[in-house]
Amino acid sequence: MATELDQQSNTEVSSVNDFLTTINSSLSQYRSRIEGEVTSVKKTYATAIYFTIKDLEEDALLNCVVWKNVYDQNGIDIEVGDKIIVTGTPEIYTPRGTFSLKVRTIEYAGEGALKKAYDELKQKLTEEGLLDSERKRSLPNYPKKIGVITSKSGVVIQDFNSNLGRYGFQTTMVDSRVEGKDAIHEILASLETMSKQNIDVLVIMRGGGSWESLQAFNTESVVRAVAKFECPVVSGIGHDTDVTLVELVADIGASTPTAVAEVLNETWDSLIHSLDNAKLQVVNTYKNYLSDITQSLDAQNAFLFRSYDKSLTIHASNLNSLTTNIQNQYRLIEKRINQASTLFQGIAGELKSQLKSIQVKIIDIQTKIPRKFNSFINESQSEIKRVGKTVLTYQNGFTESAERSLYDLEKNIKLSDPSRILKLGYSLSYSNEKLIRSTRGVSVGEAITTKVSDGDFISEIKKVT
Amino acid sequence: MSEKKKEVNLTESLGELQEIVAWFEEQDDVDVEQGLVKVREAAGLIKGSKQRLSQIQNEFKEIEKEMDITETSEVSEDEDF
Repeated sequence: MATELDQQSNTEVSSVNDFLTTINSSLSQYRSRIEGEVTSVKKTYATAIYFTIKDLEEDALLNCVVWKNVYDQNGIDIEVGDKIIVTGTPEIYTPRGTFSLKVRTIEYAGEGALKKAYDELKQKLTEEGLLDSERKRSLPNYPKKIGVITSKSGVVIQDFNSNLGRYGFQTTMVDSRVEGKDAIHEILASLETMSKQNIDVLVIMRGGGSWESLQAFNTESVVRAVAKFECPVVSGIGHDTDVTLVELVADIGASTPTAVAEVLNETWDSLIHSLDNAKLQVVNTYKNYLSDITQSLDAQNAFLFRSYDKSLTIHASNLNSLTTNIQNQYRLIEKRINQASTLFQGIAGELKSQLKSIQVKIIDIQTKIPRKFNSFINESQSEIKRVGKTVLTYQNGFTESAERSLYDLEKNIKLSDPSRILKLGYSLSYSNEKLIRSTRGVSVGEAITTKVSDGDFISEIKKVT
Repeated sequence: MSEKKKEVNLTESLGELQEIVAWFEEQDDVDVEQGLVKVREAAGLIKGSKQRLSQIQNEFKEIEKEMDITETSEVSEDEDF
């Protein structure tokens, strides 16, 4: 800088404004973190806050100015006496020529102050219900579009990517500083960018670090921006002891990038696991089914052939039994034939001798027959004549007797004919078609029908005596 | 004329076999001639069913292999990260 000014002074004269502008340009490279105690604060202006800090040991004072929106983002309301660390660049305010530090971040100095601020903000957020578990949103199943806010250069993103499952995630990353208080503005800007992206889940990550280095994640503006983010937020902010407020307000707090990746993988892993299970179930069920069919086929095969074999055995047994029976019958018949044969042979022998005897007798008869036969014929003829005569006699007697009986019968019939009696002058009277046989059957005044030989007439009874 | 053999339908064959088995179960005294017809029919069905079952088991093994291959190939396609 000195060299530049030397050169200017040697060559030409500058205007005040040009001079101060040149100075400011050079001062911009002196971005610094400065620790001091607040000695005065002016919050009355609409656009900026003015305050002074003094050196903690030496007699030195620094004017500071911070834009109102930047002050609000820092989330610290400084008071006189607070020990703070400010980050900013030195600048000369040209209208007034005053030197001041243009502040970007303000943070409490010392663990105690940080813890106090943390506790106060936590208490405030708790009272507002921002940390309630009821307002935590679940991750959608099978998230696909992931927004990531983290530092591109850190190992965090590498750990995250290497642990993210290969489920076709589409990640949109916004590179942001995540270290120190200065990260506030970049994180807020990144959140703003991400709010315009079409994402399913937002991930905010950084590695572990000192409590001071995590201050951006304990800053009210960042915490509130995370709390009101449209889609579920997963935080992966490493920490040793206290959990950052961003993690508390996020929908899911995971301590490491690996844990964040696992959270995102979870439903996918579960799906793969379910699919594997379903596959196994289908395969095993079908295997069992096929095995059952095989067994069933074998069992049916065995049963059918056993049944039929049994039937065949029964039939074969029946056949054997019948064969035996027939054989027995045959033997019996054979035995009887033999017996009959023996008997026949005996009879035949007997007959043979009888025949011989008859033959002898015949020969004997033949010699005697002419004489005796004539006598027999004559006797027979006489007997026939006698018998014939007797028969004729009986026959004639029978015929005569029958004729006489028929005659008698005819005569009786003729005598009994009513028409013959009527012709003799008798008549028949009927009352109500009944023959009147007695006076008891009629009454005076009654009409009766009288039948004579040549017809009928009706008369009325006048008197009954 | 096509002499392509009609593919055995295992489900139908099993049903027909079941009917034959039921027929045998119902008989107090199996008619030997009818029984022979049924046994011959059953033997044909069992043979056909076993062949078809064997085909199905082979196809099923192929499908099992394909399932594993598909899973591997899906993973290898997602190399975006």
